[in-house]
Formats: sequence, C-alpha cells, structure tokens
Amino acid sequence: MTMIKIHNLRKRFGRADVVNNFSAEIFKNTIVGFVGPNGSGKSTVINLLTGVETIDHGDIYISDILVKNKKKLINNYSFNISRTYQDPRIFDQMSVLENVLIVLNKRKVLSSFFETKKPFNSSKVEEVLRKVDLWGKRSALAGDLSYGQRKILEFARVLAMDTRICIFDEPFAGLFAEMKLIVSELILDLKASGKTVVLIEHDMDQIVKLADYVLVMNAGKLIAKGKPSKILSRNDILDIYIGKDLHEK
Amino acid sequence: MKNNSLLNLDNVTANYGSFKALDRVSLTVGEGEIALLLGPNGSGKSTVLKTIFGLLPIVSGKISLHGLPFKPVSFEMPMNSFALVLQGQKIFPGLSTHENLEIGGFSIKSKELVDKRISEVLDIFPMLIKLMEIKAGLLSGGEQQMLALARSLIANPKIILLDEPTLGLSPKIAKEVFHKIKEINELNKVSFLIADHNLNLLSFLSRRGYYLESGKVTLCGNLDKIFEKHFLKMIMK
Repeated sequence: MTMIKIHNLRKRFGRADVVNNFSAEIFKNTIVGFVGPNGSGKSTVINLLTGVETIDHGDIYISDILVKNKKKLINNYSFNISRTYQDPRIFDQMSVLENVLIVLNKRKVLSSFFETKKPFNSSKVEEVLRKVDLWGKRSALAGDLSYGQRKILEFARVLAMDTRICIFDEPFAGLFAEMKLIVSELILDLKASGKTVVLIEHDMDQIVKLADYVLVMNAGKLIAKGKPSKILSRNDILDIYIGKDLHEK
Repeated sequence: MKNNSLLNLDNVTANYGSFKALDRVSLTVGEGEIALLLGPNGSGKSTVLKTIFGLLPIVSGKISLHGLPFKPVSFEMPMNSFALVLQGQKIFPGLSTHENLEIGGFSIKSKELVDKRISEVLDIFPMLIKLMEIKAGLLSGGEQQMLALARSLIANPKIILLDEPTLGLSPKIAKEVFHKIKEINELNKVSFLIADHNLNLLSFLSRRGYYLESGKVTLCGNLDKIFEKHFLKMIMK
C-alpha cells in the first residue's frame, strides 16, 4: 500500500531547478533509503513533503490525501509525519528532558505549560531517553551536547512523537560505531511497529543493512530506484556517488 | 615521536562550567604527522581541538609547541602556525569564496602576501578557481568543505586541527576530501590532528590515534590495537 505518492514535483531556487519533475512512491511499513550526491535535491524534496518549503509544481499525496502546501508549513502533526534535520534543530537553552517534553504537547501555547507535567508525558520521555542512552544527560542544557548527542536528541523526539511516518535526515552523521548500532536497531523497531521510515543517508553500510529499497537522486531528478544491493553496485551510481576505493586513486 | 614532536598536551584538564570536559589529556602530534582522535559521541574529541585552539580555558596541565609551553589564545593561534577547521563547514555563507579565503589571511599584514598565498592555495584546490566570485553559501557541501580546508592553509599553518571533515558529505566527496588532506600533508608537510567517526576512511590517512572516553585518553597508539581493544571492550559490555 502506498503511503506517500509524489508526482512531478518541481522546485526552483533563483534560476536553478533544485527538484525537477521528481516522482516517487513510498510504501507503507517500509524503510526507504534516499541517497544521492551533496546538492542533488534530497533534503529539498523532504522540505517540500513536510511543508518547510512551498511547492512550485506537482502533487504530494499522503495516504491518498492530496497535500496542498502552496502555503508554507502544512500541519505535519495532522499528517502524522515527524522528521529530523541535517543540522539538528533543538532548543539549546532548554534541558534535554524539556526538548523531548515539548514535542509531546498539543500545539497550544497555554495548555503546553500544564501538559509537560502529565504523568504520561514524563514516562514517555524517560522511555525514549533511556532508549537512546541520553537519560543520564536529561538535566544538561541541549546546547552543551556534542554534535552526535544533538542528533540523537532530535532522533529521540521523533520516537516520542510516535507518528506513522518518520523521516530522518542523515541520522548516522557524526555518530560513533556503538551509537550507530543503537540507532539502526531503533529504526528497525520503528518498522516492526508498523511505521514508514524515510532515511536520507550517506552511510552506505547502513542503507544496505536497513533499507528495503532506495531512491537515488542526482541534479534534482530521480535516476534509479530498487533494491539497495543491486542499485548501489551499478557502475553509473558508483561513478557519480560512491567513487573509487581510496587506495585505487 | 618525542624527538620530532610538534605539539604536546601534558595532562590537560578543561571544564564546561562545573563539568569536567577533559581530564588530564596527554597527546603528541609529530612534525608532518597525521594523528587521529577517536571515541564515542560526547567523549571530548571536539573539546580537545577547541582547547588547543584557545576556545576553552585550560584548568590545569600544559600545551607546548616544539617543546616550548604556550597559553593558547584563539585569535593569536594563526600567528602560532595553528589552524582550526570546525565541524560542519563553517564558512561565511554571505561572502564570496575569494573573500572567505582573504579572511583566512587576516593575520598576514601584507595584502600582496595574502594574494600570493591565495594563489598558492588555489594550486592545491583548483576546483575553487571557477567559484571565486560565488557566495560561499551557494557552494555544495563538498565545495564548502574544500573551501574551509583551503582557508585554513592561507596563513601557512604547521598544524591543522580538523573536526569531522567528512560530516554530511557523500561517499565520493568524502574520499576526495581525504585525498586532499593526504596531499597537503605529504606535499606541504603540514601536521593534522583529526577527529572523525569514519573509521574506514581514517585508516587511509594514518595508523596512529588516541581513543577518548568521558574526557580521558583511554587508549593510544596503533589503530589496529585501538580497534582490537575497543571491540573487546564492547564485547565485555
């Protein structure tokens, strides 16, 4: 069953077509790897999908519902999408604990002050922070965390939001081997619990290990899709994206 | 290593407020050597680089260059032959590539010398020549990382402190960046102290490193031995 359908999506920044007639389908309860060289348009597609950028042309359907995001910032919450960013967007002046608590609130300013005290929210925060090994840092200011820990905190917020669609923009960037293992297991858990996961990632080992299929973008266009092991061994993909082995050059 | 050591950290401790970020860290980088900083997230790798560059005050211990102790002051570091390239391609996005390179030479008084250095650095990074008038914020991630590296070379450093040079870069571009680091090291005899997680690529650059955990150096020496002990530790856990 199709969870997200993208049809002829186009986005132009200045005179450059950053996304150019991009069409793709993302199926329910799968992990899709979204790969391509830097600047190929992957993050822009995700920004269009989540309403961070406005669509110039084309359609996006989520669970067969047409998303009209000509205006900025569609209500992701109602579409049940959560996402992370390449550069983690967390609240530096809040504690680790508060950073997760805040995403559990309904989107009303006044009630949010009281909702943080709800027992459900507190136990949910503890559960996700323990999962990502940040419970010991719960009182630390988010701004004092290392880059990898900030990525993990943003990841924890997605876990806490418990949405049907989870989108991760380079979740493994800047993570050490042990943390990569934890994150990859959590992503597999998301799939096992029925979620649809989109992974923008440059770590090909993780893509091959986790993704059911991959979409490859280059210069704003979809250039390949299919099983990771098959697509990522193609010579044209190796040429533009993976490059030669370091010792070959 | 002690005989031709360029940079020495001797029992350096540094704090973030009341939190002990580095705990008696000792390490050495030799002349023309590439040394690596490894360790879990939050172990203090970036903090080591920031402390050496004077962005975090030292509580105790000493840092020396060519055996002579000095107190790091960040804006004086380029004059002391140090360069720091921070995580995440920290270039000035609103300035052109050329202006970014000029800023790299702020410690050089003569404009002619800055221009000469830019032209020498462009010999190493020919891909930047056609991008000189373009705003740096419009460059791709790989180009921005090349620009950050090129800028660090303008003041002719003896050692470059490099934090996660391949962060967010596609595999092909990451390999190109590592080739460039190797080229700079071999041709210009510049030393590097590099913090990164990309273990496969790091072993291409160097075989010697330091493994940090909770602000302490817990393993050092040959990479194979570090990996061996590290994985043993993981299994023991």
